[in-house]
Amino acid sequence: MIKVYDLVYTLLNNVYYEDTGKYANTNKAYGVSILIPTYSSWQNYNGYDQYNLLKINQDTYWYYFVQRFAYYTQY
Amino acid sequence: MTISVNIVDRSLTKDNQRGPSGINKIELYIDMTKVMESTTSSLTYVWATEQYKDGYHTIMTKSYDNVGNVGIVSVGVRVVNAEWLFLVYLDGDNDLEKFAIQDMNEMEMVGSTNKIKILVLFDRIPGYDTSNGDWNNARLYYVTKDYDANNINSVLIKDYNELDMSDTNTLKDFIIYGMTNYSAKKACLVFWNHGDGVYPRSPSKDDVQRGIAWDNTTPGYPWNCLTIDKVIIALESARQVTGKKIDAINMDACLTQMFEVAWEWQYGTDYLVGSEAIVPGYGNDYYTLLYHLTQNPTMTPSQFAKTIVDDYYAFYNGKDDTTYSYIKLGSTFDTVKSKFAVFAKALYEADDNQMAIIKNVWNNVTYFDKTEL
Repeated sequence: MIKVYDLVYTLLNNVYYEDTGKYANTNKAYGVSILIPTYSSWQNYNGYDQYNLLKINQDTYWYYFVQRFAYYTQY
Repeated sequence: MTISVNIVDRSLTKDNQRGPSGINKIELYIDMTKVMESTTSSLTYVWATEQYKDGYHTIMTKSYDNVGNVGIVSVGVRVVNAEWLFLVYLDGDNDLEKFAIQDMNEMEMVGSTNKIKILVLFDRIPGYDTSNGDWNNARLYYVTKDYDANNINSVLIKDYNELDMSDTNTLKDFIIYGMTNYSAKKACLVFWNHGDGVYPRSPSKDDVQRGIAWDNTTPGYPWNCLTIDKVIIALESARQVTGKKIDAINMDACLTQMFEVAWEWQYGTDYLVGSEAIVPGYGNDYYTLLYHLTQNPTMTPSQFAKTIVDDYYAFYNGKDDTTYSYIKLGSTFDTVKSKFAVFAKALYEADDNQMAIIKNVWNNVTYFDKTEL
């Protein structure tokens, strides 16, 4: 939990956002998003996957989490 | 500003008998500081006036002939630097062409001033919108003010053949041309087109293509776009030539305000402005945001980024479901990166119970894509 709060607190200092309509209410948005694909869409990327080439995935465990999570969500 | 010096040698040799002795060298001084030297009779110097304060400055040349005579010429000039260069990469080479025409006309409702310079690289497509002569190549415009909401009347700088807006070199050359010929203290670059997030792409299976700025006149769909790695290559290449960074990038395109983009472009700009969600076809309200900029041209990049977000909110509030934000990049983003790295590692190492919790959260978060589910 501490790790989530650390990240959220830091983001609040680095991201300024305004939302309208559903994104200001039920489907709240916070100014920055990230890819977390479903298992089926992850399967579509087989043979074409260049996501791991991005700097964020070179610098962190994010790609490995996404890969593991996609397989986890198939059940 | 380009300074050109051409010395006509009318000096005589010391005995005043044998005619001009020839130019040995020329020195160019700005405010008594030597900035260039030439051993020929002429020189050309590109003066980056934005690095000097507004006001009066002295340009002086010292020319030396081959027998020791020195000629000095000095002139005073008044520098009034532009505050902002507003570069718009207006890719209308697709089904958004009519909105591109509209936005160009919105920009013309404000136009450039002596403090704000608006430069637009506008690529069109055959078909779709047939107005304004239905030209379908690419043109470079210096945007000037007019009250005609339908017709483009700005100054045409260059009339190209077709340009590939998905080519890194097209973007790089546009930035270099703008920042070299329309120098200003600060620069904002607008990407105008479809947007679709980041890699991965799987065009042969589900037609998912991830990037910005599709050029439909260029073969190879859906790969004929600028992916985020191509953009940073263009930004860095341009910076090597101009020596200046783009202060803010505004993404007038769908689905681009992502962690992955911010990470990739961290050192390409200081403020990344854009939308997590779909951007309506009308896009930014250029009249309002440029009006605000011209009313307060000394805005800092931070203030301008906030203005773009606030103007977007004001335009769509009560009309549509939208998001808009800015992310501080540059070295400031290092803190976000370090916190995110810890977070990502913790997620990767989660046990089965924690994964179940993560899946539950994932099922309830806001989803912005349009093709994957």
